[in-house]
Amino acid sequence: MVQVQESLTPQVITVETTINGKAIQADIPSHRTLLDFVRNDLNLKGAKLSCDVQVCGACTVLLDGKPVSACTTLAHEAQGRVVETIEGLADGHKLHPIQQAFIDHGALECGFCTPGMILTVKAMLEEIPNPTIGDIKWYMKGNICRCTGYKKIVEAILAAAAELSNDQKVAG
Amino acid sequence: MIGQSISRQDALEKVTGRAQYAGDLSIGNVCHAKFLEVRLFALALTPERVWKALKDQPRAQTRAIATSSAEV
Repeated sequence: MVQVQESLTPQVITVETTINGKAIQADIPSHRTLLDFVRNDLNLKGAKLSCDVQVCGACTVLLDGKPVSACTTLAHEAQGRVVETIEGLADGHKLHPIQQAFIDHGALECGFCTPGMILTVKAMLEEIPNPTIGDIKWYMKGNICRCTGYKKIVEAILAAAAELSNDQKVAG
Repeated sequence: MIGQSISRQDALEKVTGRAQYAGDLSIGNVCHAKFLEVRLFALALTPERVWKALKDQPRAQTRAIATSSAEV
């Protein structure tokens, strides 16, 4: 019984991680979610709390480049890893091509799902640079838009993919 | 303008995560309230019974309960 009580006592873990390119060291209670950590401790409010059960995608951040639901990821899981939130995507005033495509194609309404959507798109385009509409629907299924503006989101993703592969041709 | 698409005025804030929603506001020094359903018949509503029902839901420190307007 004593063992159970000990395991229920929150422990503080010193976590070293990189968030939006910045090295961060913090003492974090072991049960603190990555979402609480970025929103409340680091004041990065772009990732949203919505369903809190890894269904809606509003809290999506990138962990080593892969989309994760920050609501169901513990902050200490970011130990030694690279976290990217929507706030780190633009290069100063220069928007990332995915952000620009979302604006140009009107791929947002209330905008609540947008930060998570955009980060998932970034991960997808690194994995699948030229996705088909089927690829997009499959990869984006964990990001829900309650305004239901999916058609324009798909259009924006196709445009961003074309833009990014053009950039690569120029650079390459 | 006719026949041209224009982008939303708030699109930049929304794609950069700067747009503020109710859950993002932190103004401090505010009271928090939550509605709880108390399963009591209205005819039997007394401050003591409401207090007892709320006691089992330890979500906050209960300072006072105003039931007079609901009492028969």
